[in-house]
Amino acid sequence: MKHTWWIACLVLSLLSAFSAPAEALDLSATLHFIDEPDLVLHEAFTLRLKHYNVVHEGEPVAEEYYVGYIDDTGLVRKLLHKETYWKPSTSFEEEVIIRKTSDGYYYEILSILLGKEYSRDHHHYRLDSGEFTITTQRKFLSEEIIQLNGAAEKITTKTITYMHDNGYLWQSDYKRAKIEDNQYFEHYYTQNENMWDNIIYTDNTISLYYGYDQDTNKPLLKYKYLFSYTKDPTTGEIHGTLDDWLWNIRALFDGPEKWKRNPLEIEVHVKSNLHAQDMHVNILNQQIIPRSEYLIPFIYGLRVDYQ
Amino acid sequence: MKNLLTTLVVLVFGAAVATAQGLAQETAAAASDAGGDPLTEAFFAEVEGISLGEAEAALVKGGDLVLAVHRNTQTMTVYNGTPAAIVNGLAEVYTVPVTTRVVQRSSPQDKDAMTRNEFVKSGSVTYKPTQLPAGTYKLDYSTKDVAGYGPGIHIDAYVETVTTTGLMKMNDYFVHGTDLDNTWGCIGVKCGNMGRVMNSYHRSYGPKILTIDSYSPRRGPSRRHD
Repeated sequence: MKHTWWIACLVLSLLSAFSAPAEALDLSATLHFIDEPDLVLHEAFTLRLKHYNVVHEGEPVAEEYYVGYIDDTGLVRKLLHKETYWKPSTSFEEEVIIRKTSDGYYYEILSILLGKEYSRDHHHYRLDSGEFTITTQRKFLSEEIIQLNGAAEKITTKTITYMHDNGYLWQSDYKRAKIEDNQYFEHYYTQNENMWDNIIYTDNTISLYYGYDQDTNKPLLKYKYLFSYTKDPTTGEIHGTLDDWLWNIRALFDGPEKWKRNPLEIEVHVKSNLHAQDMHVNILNQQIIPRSEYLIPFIYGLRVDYQ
Repeated sequence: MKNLLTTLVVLVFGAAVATAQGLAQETAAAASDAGGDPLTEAFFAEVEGISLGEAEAALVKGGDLVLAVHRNTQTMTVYNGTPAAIVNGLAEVYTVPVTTRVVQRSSPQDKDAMTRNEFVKSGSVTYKPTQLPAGTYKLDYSTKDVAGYGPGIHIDAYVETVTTTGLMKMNDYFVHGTDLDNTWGCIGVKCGNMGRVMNSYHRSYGPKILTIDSYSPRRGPSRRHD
C-alpha cells in the first residue's frame, strides 16, 4: 500500500513535469457576447500620421492610418488600422471590431513597435452606472519581447469615473480631464511611475507638458501641435492638417527658450457625427480610439477656427 | 621577439582601457586637451615601450580608435593610433568634455539617474531616455548630421528602454556634438570638440570602439543643486 502511494506520487510528478504548460486563457473566453444583426455603422473619421526620423532628419520612418466607424449612438464600433514602416520595410493591416458583451464592450488590437509586432492587446470595457473598468490582457508576440517583459502576457486594469458634477469630465486612477472656456485640460493629479504627458487643447493647438515652470508655476510646454482646419459648408465635413510640430528646447534639454520645428505629418478628416450628445459615449470613444489626442476637439465638440 | 612583445602589448592595452574606466576618479576631470589621461598613463608606467624608428612611428599613427568615456568626470579621452603607438606615447591622445546625462539640470530627479522618468518622442516611438550602460561598444558608422547637431558616430548598442508600448531594445545611440546640458542617451561632445573627434574617426583605419564606465561607488549620485 505504501509502495502504491509512492508510485502514484511519482507518476503524477512525471505527468506534471512533462505535460505542456497550460495556455493562458483569452479574456474573450470569459465574456458573453451579444449578437447585433441590425448594427448599422457610419464612417466618422480618418486619421493619418507620418513620422520622420529625428536623427536623420527628413527620412520617413512610419505611417499610421486609422478609419473609425460609429453606431447609431455615436460609439466607435469598428476601426481600420494600418501601419507602414520604412526600416524594416513592412506593413500591417487589421480590422478591429468593438463587440458588445453582456456588460460592456470587447475588442482586440495589435501593438506594433519599431516595425515589429509587439503584442496583441485584448480590451474589455465593463460598464457600470458611474464608471467603467478597462481590463487589458497583453499577449507578447515574440520571444525577445517575452524575455524583456519576463512573462508571456500581462493583465492590467484601469477604472474611469464619469465626473460631470464637479467640472471634470472623467477621472482615472491617476489622471483627470475637464473642459473650461472651450479648452480641454487633461493632467495627472497623483504621481505614477509611467506618467505620460499632460494635454491641453486650445485655439487649434494641442500642447503636451510634463513639468512646471519653476518661476511662474505654469505648465512648461514640451510639444505644440498647430493645426489648421477647413469645413465643407455643404457636408459639414472637417479636414485638419498639422501645420507645425514644435519642440521646446528649454523643456526637453534645459537649453535656451527656443521652439524647434520638427517634421511630422498629421491629417484628420472628421464627419460631424463624431461628437455624441451623450458625454459618456464621448469619454468611451476617447479611450477606444488610438491617438485620440489629435481628435479631442471633435470628440468633445469644442470650437475650432476654420480657414 | 618584437612581434611577440607587440602582441602582448595589444592584449594588455585592451584590458587596460576597460580597467582604467573603472578606476577613473574626479581628478581626471582636470585632464584637459593636451595631456591625455593621467590614469591611463600611470597604468602604463611600468610597461616598457618599444623604441620605434621614424619609419615605424609613421606606420602606427591613425590605427585604432578608442573613445573612453568617464561618467563621473563627464569627459571622454580619445586614443587614436596603433596599440604600439599608444604605449610609446606616439598616438594622438586628448580629452574632451562630454555629457552623458539624460536628466535636465532643472529637473527634481537625480541628474545622474540612468533613466529619465519622463517620456520623449522620437520618430514613431515615445520612450524614457536611458544612459548607455557601462561596457564596450563597437562604433559602426558615421553620419553627416545627427538631429541638427552636426556629424556623429553611431554606437552599436542595444539598450533596454521603456516605451509607451512596452520594453524594447533601442539602437539609436550616437557620439555627437551638443551645446546643451543633456541628451536622450547619446554621448554629447561639448565645447565645439566634435570636429576633432570626427577627424580622429576618419583617420582611424583599425577597430573603433567606445568604452564607458559606471559612476564610481565612492561618489554618490549628485543631486539637483550639487
